[in-house]
Amino acid sequence: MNKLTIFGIGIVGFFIIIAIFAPMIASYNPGQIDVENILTPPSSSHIFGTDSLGRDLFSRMVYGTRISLMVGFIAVGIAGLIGIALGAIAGYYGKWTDVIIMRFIDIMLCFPTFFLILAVIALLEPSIINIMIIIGATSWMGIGRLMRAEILSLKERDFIYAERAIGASDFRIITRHLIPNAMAPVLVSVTLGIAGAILVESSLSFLGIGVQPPTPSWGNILSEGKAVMGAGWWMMAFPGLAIFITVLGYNLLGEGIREKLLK
Amino acid sequence: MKKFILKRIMGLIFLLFGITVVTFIVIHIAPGKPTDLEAQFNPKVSMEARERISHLYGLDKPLGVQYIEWLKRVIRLDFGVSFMDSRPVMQKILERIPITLTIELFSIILILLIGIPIGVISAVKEGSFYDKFMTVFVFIGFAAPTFWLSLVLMDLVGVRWGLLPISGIKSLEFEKFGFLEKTIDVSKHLVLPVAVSAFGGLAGISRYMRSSMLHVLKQDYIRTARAKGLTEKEVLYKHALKNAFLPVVTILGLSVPGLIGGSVIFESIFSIPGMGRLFYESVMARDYPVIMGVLVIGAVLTLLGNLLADISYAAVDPRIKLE
Amino acid sequence: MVSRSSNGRGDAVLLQIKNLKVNYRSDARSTEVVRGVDLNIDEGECVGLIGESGCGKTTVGLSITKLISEQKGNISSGEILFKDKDILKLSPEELRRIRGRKISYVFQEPFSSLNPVFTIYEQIKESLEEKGNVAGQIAEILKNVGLEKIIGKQNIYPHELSGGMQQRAMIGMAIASKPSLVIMDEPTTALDVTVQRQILDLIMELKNRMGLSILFISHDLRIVFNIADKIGIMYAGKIVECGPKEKIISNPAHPYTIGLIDSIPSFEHRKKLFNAIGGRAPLFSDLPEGCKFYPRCRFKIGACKEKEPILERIVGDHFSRCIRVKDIVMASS
Repeated sequence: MNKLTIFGIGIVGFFIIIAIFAPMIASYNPGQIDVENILTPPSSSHIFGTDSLGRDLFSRMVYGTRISLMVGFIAVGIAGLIGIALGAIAGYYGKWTDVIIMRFIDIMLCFPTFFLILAVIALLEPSIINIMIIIGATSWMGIGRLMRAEILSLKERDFIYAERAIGASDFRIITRHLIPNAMAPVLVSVTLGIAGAILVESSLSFLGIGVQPPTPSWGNILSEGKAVMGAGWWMMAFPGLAIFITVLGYNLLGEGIREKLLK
Repeated sequence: MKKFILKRIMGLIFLLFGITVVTFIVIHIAPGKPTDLEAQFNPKVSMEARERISHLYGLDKPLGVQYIEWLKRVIRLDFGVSFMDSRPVMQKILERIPITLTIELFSIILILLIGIPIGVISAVKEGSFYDKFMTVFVFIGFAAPTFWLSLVLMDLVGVRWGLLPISGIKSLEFEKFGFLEKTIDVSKHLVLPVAVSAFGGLAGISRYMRSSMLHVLKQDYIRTARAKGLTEKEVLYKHALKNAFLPVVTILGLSVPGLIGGSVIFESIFSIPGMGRLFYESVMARDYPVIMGVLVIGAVLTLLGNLLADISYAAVDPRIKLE
Repeated sequence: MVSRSSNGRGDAVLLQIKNLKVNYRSDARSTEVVRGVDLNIDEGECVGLIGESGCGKTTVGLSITKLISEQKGNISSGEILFKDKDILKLSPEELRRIRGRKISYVFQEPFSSLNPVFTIYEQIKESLEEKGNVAGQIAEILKNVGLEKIIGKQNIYPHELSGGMQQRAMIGMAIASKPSLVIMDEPTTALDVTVQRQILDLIMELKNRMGLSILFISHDLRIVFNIADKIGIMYAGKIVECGPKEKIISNPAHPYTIGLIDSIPSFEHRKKLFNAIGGRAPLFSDLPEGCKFYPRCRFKIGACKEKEPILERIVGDHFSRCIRVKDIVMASS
């Protein structure tokens, strides 16, 4: 397997482990304020330094991992569900159902996604749940198209005719036979989508309408970093690097899956 | 060719219609009515006054009717007035569009000028050190978050090294400059935003160009070109490139909404008075007319971008010309 | 085969392939696909190269001007003498000057061999040697290949032509600079049967009129019997029989050739049963010891398994790679 792909798997695994074992890895309580140590650079006691309230940056980042990954997975999960369902229905039933769903996708794709997300988040409460739902509800279109394309080519295959001949219901055919065989390119999309969702969440948090402080998210830590630019380079460097490396990891993994599947 | 354009325009009208529907629904998802917030700013407003405002904005009518009323105005490009400063929404948008579009345009030019050659050379030298290096570089480009990049560049290039300005599109002494100096001034201000905006797109295009070129190089007609005794340069840059470039045109068109969406971030960071920043400000202030206006106009711009991409593709690919 | 600059009849030898060996690479493994081929083409001669798919005949054709990409494979040894100069030793620049000008190609699939985004006019123009009077030269070429209909139409693209017309265009491109040798790899296989006839007639006409030498690669014995002066039959990467067409038709001297001839359905022998050759061509990665045709051979004996036979002269220019050649010649006459 490609070296880069292995690298990607390594990164993804690394952060998942951090997220799961956060309480054991973080050396401090992420919310613990320490007015005596405001904005101290990385040192032996605070390996990433402290923020403007004296909180240990490393611990906050470790807990931030949980948030970022959770949002990433669930948002993409929602996008995946919607996309797979609509794509499969459009591809299988064809005709008017197909036209309607595809036109809907076309309309949704006209909007700069980030604009839509911003608008809806601002109108609702910027809670973590809302963020996950909104990101999911605005990124399913690519998956939908892919699934539809796969279903279109698969549904004319002999094994599907055989299933119909023995009287299998549409639902069964779609869920048991068509979708599993069509998952390959969707898997690539999903993996790359996790990277995208993490980027969106951190962008939202950075702008102040994502995860709200004091809950730590890489994005809102970076926002703090902007405010103290010049006085605390570590506030910008570490969260940025974390986002960057995570996104890189998922991209490499996604591309690796694609290479494997294209054989 | 004409029929092709006509069909596309018909499709466009449908999409425009759909855009207005979605925009309308999105705004009315919010619990409570738009007037609630406005009234919140002034607690002394009585129930009576609220009802009057409701009536004024037509908010007491059923949603369907509200939509039609709104749509009628939108067709005339009348998005109402901003809650924030009571200026017509369209005017505010029109002030900002040129700046955002300029940055987008330069981004696209940069993406083309740099991304295409990188992709082509990576394909030609497949497997070489250059190719591997560029692959890594491109992945980095994909992964770097725009806002982080903006901040880092701002810090390094703007603050520490003082090479380029980091906010706004003109310096304080702008008015005193001659034409040439004005141009240089604006250009200097635009360098960082354009660079940031183009960075991610560059990665995508070069990757796509590479795979397209690799695909083309495997085709029979490339073997024919070599068999004819053409120089390697002619084979690559005349025969292969034109074919490889075609699908890239479509991708360019599809990257327009991404560029517009991304403008929110870097315009906010670099204090550029563009559409993205307008949108952000109006979202934070719950300025509904502006929000709806920007959503619709943003989508329209995307549509135009796609249409342009489709027409360019049809113009360049002889197999499509005849439809 | 003989390696002099002229054959017994006094015609100059145009191309001599000597002991050509070509490897193909796939996934880090390297397989020898052409295992030592000798072939001569005289001036004005049409040489047919016959074999089943995968026997290496296309590879031989492509190797003549080193058209096999580095990634796919390489020529490991041998000489290809074109007018007494070894092509394999030429500089890239010199090689380029031969390609298209002195030695040109016609490929099997005309649609995918023509660049879809350039006009036919443009693509023929690229093949021209002289720089002047482009329109006139192209009109002449189009007339020669039977494409009068498109003379003067500079904006025609490949997809606007039928398969037959596309192949005519390719032939036009191949003869544009009046080459000495045209290598045709299954030029009619992808075309409709009725069109095949027309194209073959065109090729014959051009050969006679322009004095072209042709290497005609095909799996179809009937076509090659029709068009070639001399025939080489390939099996598993080597030539197993070669000689003048008449000799091969009347006295085939290799079991494979006999099998091929027997398997042609013909109207004259309607009563005779259809005899396909049993078995399949071997994989290059898995060649048996001794004679490679052994598993499918009607005339095999124990000795055939021990050593791969060499190409031996039977009489005149007729050669065969079979130790039982004398018995076969008696059996087939």
